[in-house]
Amino acid sequence: MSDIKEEVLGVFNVIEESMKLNCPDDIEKLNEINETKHYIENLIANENDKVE
Amino acid sequence: MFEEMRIKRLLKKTITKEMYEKLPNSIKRDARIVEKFLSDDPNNINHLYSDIIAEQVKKDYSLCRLLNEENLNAVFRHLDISKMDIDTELFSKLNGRNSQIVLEQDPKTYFQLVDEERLSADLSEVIAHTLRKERGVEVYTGKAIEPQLLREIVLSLGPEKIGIIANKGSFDSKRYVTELIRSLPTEEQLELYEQNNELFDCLNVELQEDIQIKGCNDEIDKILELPEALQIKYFTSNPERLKYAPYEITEQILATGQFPLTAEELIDISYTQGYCIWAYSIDKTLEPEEMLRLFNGGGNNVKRLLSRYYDSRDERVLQIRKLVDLQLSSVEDVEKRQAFLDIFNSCMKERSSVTYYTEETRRCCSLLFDERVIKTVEPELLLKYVKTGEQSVLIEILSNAYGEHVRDIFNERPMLTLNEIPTFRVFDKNIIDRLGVEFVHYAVSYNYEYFGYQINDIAENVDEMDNFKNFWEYSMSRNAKFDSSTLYSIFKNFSAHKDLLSQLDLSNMSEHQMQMLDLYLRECETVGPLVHNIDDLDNYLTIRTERFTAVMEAAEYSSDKQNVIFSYLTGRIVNPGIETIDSMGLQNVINVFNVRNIIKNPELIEEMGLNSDEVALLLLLNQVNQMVEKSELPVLNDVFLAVSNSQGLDPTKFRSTFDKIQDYYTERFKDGLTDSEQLDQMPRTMIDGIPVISFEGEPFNLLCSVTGIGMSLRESVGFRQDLRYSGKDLLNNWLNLEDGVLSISCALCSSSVSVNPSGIDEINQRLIFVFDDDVDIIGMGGTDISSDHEKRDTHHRFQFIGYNGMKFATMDEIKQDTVENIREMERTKHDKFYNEVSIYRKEEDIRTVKGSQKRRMPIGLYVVGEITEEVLETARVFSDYYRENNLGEFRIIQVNPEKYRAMTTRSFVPSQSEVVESNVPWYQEAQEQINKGRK
Repeated sequence: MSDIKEEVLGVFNVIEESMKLNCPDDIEKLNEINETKHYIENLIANENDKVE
Repeated sequence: MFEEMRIKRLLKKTITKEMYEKLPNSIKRDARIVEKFLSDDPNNINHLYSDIIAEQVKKDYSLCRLLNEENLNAVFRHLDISKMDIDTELFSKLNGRNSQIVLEQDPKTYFQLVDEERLSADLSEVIAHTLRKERGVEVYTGKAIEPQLLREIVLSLGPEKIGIIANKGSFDSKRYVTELIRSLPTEEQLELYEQNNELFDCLNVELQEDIQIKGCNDEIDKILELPEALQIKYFTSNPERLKYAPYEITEQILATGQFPLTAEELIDISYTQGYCIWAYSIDKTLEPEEMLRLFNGGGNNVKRLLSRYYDSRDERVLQIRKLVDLQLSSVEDVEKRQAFLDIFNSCMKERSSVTYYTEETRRCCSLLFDERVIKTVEPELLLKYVKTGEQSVLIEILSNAYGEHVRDIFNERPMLTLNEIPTFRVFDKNIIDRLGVEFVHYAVSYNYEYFGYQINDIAENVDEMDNFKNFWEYSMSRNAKFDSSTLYSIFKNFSAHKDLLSQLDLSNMSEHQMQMLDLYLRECETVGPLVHNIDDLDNYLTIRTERFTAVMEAAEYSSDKQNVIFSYLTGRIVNPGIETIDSMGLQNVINVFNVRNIIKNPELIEEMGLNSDEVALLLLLNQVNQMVEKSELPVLNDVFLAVSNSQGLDPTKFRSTFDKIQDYYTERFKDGLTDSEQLDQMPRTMIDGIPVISFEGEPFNLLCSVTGIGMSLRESVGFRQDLRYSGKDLLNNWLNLEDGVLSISCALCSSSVSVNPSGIDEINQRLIFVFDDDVDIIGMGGTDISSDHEKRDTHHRFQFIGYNGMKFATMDEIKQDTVENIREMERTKHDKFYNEVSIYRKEEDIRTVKGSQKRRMPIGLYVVGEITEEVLETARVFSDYYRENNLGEFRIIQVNPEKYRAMTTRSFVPSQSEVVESNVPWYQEAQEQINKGRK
């Protein structure tokens, strides 16, 4: 498991929460953030698979 | 009688209010009754008749405090207010008319007691009238007061009330208060300001500036937010910090000529501020003795001196004579000195049409400014070199001055010219013994402007030399890949961090300490002077987080906040004033490196060799880059908080991310170039012993220098189309590295959409390059990337205004951009429509380069159309030189324009309407090729 990707994912969680609070109407950006989060989760999962 | 009896009876009793009220007037007015009535209760005064009240108060003014509002106002005008000791309570009972009496009779008291609203209005009026009266204007209303009294009144009000007048009063009163405060001694002004900050605008301007500057606590980022005038003031009084000033500020300060620097200070500033500070400040900021220190080792750096001084149009030419006189004053032999002067004078007679000085002047001064040379060289030998410029004579002169080892170095570098030797001191035996011959090769390969002085400095000073040696060895061990900017960074960092580096045991540091030192040296321009000792290095991540947090809090705009996050994560500096490939802000980084495209393309990610951590970083940076709305400012703050609180996100993890991307684009671009093997397979003919390869419709991608027959680059004057170098002149200009510039400006000439590299119809003969080895490409774009071709530039500046700007693009993208750009330029008639690829003139890593060449040479001439006699003569000269120096084959690459209608001149480019109508067959063909390439 990579600490860096986990850390970046954590930052994206912060971005998502902060966007919901400050720019709740920007649905497009929120969707994009969500997609990017999934992408990073996949990166983490792929890496874990390789390790296993 | 009865009345008298009644009075006597009353005097024996306590007279109550009720009893007094019922008394007849005559008894009420009786002095004894009044006295008794008051002695029974002083408050009874309010039941007396007004005239009696006034009489009583005049006897005892303390009674006025017992009066109610009505009685006080009734009798007030009969009283002597100077005896009343009017306080706030008493004043508050007065009606408008009576308070006006106070104003007239005791204005000081009035203004002390009046409420804020009235104070501002009344004093404004008084001030206005007083000013009018002073200036002879008739006063119709209000009250004028003697100026001295007015001054006393205002000053006695105290800071808070003065502030009210200054901020709420009339124009006149504001002005008066400002003038008044400014007339006070500085200490008193400061005292007032400390008690009421609202008085800031009333202070002496100089004091205001001092307060603003002092408020920054010497923190550079706060200083840089001050108005320009204050920054100038700050940096003028803190010259040791001038290197942190923006370029424009430094330029203005130094341009005054009232700011003498030492040679060392000028060097230090120039490293941070750039070439122009160096170039244009030498004669304005350095005393003659300092200037001689700077140019002590002669060599090519003297050229800078010449270009500043040798201008026959003004008296500056006299300055260089003075410097030469000063320099030659150390020659004890009078005859020899005179002989040197005669040689110098003979050089100064003529002025070159190309530069401000002749080649002879340059050769002469390069040697005369070297102390060792003038002590060892005979005038005859000097004259011989000045007149002929023969390398063998230069070698003899330098061998005599520095030792026989100079010959060995020249043997290893047979193409070495004066232009490449920043200072002859580089041949100093001390330098070679301690730093090794390798150092000399680096120094003459990357001949940056400032090296000369620093080399002189370390050659003269043993301690300095040891410190430099330690840092040199440290830096070489830390740089797995030595590129053009490495040596520059070593000198720059040594200059800027001498104190820190001298106290660090560089050979005994932990990996963490070395990583932190590398990071700090890399980003020092952004974070400021944060590290002072080894402890700071140990704690550097914490210290830098604190610093970035402060900068983040101060940042107002989203772009600033984005750049703070970007720098924090990557350690890259952001310098909006001088944007280079290494100092761009986040928005430009995303554009120039095509980050959006990378993160969507897994294949590209793999080819670039980016690991998944780096991809995560790019995703984050891309997301941050999109936060541009005002409503997203708090989001950016939250991002920074999250990033700075994370344990794993530090810039040491992402040091090579952007290098990988840059290297990938360079490699892909090189892959698309026509190589030597492909050229060798082409049919060829021989003309006068020179191979001619003709392209008659075959595809090709060649990189052509913008320099060629008819257009050349000379330092200081830029590209000159009027020089029309050809033949031997073109070869000499090229061999002298076009006056020593480090980079070559090239255009991609391609069979599909190529244009003439210069963009000028008549000029179509260029020096071409074919690369089989590693080429360090600085930047590439579909248009001019605004490169500066200077000696010192390791990273090209670029701009986005009006052009696509610098961009690491694929070859197909460059072609596409070029087509679009031509279409655009067809409308606007702009002449800068060639695409550009900048490359370095020397091979990158001397440690790995074999042989003696160490510089890029063209493989031939690119000719569109006919081979003229001029082309042939030039090819002959180059060909002979290549043969003599075993440089391989020099070819002519001839292109038949009829077979590539798009590539020759602008007239072949379709107009916008033609493109829209899509009726230009060759254009469609070109488009198809591009689209095919993209797929």
